[in-house]
Amino acid sequence: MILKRELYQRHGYIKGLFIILFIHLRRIFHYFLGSYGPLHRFFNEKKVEVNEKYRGMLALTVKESGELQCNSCNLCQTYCPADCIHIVPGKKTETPEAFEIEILRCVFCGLCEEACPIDAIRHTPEMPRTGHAEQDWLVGIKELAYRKSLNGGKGLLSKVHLKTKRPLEKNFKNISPEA
Amino acid sequence: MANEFFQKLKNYFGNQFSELRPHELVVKSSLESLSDHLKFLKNDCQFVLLLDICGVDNKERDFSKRFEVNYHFLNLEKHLRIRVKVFLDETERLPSVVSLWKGAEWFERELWDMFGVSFEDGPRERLLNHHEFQGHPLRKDFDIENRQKLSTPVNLAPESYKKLKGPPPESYWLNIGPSHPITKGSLRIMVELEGEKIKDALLEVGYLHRGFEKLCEGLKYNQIIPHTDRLNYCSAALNNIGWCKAIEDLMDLEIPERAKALRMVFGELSRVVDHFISIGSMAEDLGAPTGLWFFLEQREKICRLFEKYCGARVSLSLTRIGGMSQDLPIGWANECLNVVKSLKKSLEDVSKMFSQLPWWMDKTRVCAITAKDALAWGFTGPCLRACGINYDLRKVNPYYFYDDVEFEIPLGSNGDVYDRYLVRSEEIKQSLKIVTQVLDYLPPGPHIVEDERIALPEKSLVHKRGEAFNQHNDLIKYGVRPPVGEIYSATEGANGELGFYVQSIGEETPYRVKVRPPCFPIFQAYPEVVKGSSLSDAYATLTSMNIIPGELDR
Ligand code: SF4
Ligand code: SF4
Repeated sequence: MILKRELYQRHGYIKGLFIILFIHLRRIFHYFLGSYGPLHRFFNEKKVEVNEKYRGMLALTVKESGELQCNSCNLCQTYCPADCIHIVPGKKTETPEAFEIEILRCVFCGLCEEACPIDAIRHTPEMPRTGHAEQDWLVGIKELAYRKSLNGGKGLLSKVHLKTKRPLEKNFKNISPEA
Repeated sequence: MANEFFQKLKNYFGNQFSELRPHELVVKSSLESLSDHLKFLKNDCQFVLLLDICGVDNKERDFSKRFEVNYHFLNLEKHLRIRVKVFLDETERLPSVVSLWKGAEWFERELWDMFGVSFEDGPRERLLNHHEFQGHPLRKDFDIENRQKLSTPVNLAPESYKKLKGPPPESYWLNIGPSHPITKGSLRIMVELEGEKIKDALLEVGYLHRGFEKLCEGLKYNQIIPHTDRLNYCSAALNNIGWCKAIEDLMDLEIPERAKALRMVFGELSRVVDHFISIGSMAEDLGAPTGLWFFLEQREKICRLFEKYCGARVSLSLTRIGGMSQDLPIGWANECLNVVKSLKKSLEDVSKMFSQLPWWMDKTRVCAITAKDALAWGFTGPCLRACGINYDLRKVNPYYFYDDVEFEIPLGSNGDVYDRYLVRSEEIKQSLKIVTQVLDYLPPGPHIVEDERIALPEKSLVHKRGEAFNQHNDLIKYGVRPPVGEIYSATEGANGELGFYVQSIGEETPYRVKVRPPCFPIFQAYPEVVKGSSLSDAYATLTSMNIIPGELDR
């Protein structure tokens, strides 16, 4: 498709001026009526709502007893494209002794969430944290699982119940309606 | 017709010629006859467009010669791609092809930079790496851990410029970049100005070189997807699609219909976003900053759609090998159709704001490039179509359902900034048209292939343990393994042909990955295009070409 001939013909200055004036006046009108999306929201000072699917700061989930759900299987570490997860398995139990994520390296890609077979690591809609010093960027279990914003410090409950190696019946329904 | 053409090639090359896949031919050449072969291909077979030159180091395989150089050429009329392979040792020298294809210069510099392949007509400068850098990083025996300290900047301007004494010179050098508002990343341009006119321009690239290709050699195929987001960061979905399509073609894998349709939807939405940013920043650089805000406001709507689907707004990572990462959430399609409707409405406003207006036309009817030059440099995409050449991969080689949807390819006539703007703004409308058509007939079915060697099993089954759990673990640990082979697969990116050349040796990581970024040949032509124009025209040209350093430097 060759572009239309008219597109190459210039308007005169006066006509151009009126076109632009008209468009801007109409936009200003819309703007004051308040149906213009982001601008409207900006002036109403509402919070920008973040979708619950947003791939933000990572969180480790916990069992009902409050322990970490993770059993140090290392799948997320293997799958992470940025190589930013470090896991030290526990000496006596499966629960990891240390679970660290280098937030500066993390690209928030969601692959670790996809790799974890027991729903032990998840993205939350929270924005990744800010900080000044290097130690702020190495996030450990305390921050990942028990920070204030996750159920007031109790941690997110995992969807998979590990003891019986089966998901809880009612939680399972939440995951997939067809199953 | 095609048979005659093949016969001609067969007669000339004998049994060195083979057809690997439809539209992908391979010729094995030797160092002595390379120049003759390439001349024959260009002059007698109309392989006028040089797509890519890619080196491979065969140190880890038992090949008799160490290096392998693959030239990729395109015949626009018959839509055939040919790969000319030549093998050489460290001591041997490669003939230069710059006299045949102007655009080969940077590719050859890159070859020297990355592999240390030397040329008959003298040494080359480094391109993507720093000029003090030691070693050739894409060689297999390069030590990545050895950190080198690089500090002195390149001195682009000639020596005489630094010693300013006596009367003021007639022309002077002006440095633009590496960090400048008109660049969408970091790149450096030095222009020689004579009054207002640009006499010459020198380029320096490589500020955003992250070693994408080297990185890929150590990553599994699925792990590379998040890294492809960072190539052209304005249209991440198109890069994801290009990469996954390359691997799927290598494996001869047919993805489900729903995945194809979803890829078209997200690809086109990404193209729209890319063009929004391109036109918007062009407006800003030409002194109409409101234009940028108009476009960013529209872009926000699409970003919200992306966020709702995959949880990210810019770096999407939404494909997986074999399909998509997830199915559409409920109600997404309707919301998308509403957004498309509102975009169409507001785009009318925007096009009225720019098209045909005297101020806009005065500033943008500059820096034209002829179709012949554009081909010699290796332009593709909107910049080539602005010169009037009808070449769009979605039309000539319709992948997915592009032959079932109705859309048109806008063509310019002069190849100047205004034409590039018009082509881009018309492409936005066509892309939105495609999105509506696909969403109206969205096929049902799975969003990813149901094959335990390629796609992860459904999460709810994995949670139950049993068979699916083992498959899940195996796939995560050992990854997708394409068969031994090589492929050059191209898709239509927002800026032109985005090609991935992949060599697999049947392992979980690729042996060699080469990206053919569309801006790379386009930016190479920049000095020639801006010569003789004024500085503000040079700014307009840079943004209208939509040079994205993330993709340029990889
Ligand atoms: S989000 Fe991606 S980069 Fe970040 S820890 Fe998970 S897998 Fe690694
Ligand atoms: S978070 Fe999940 S994948 Fe990672 S080690 Fe723990 S259980 Fe394994």
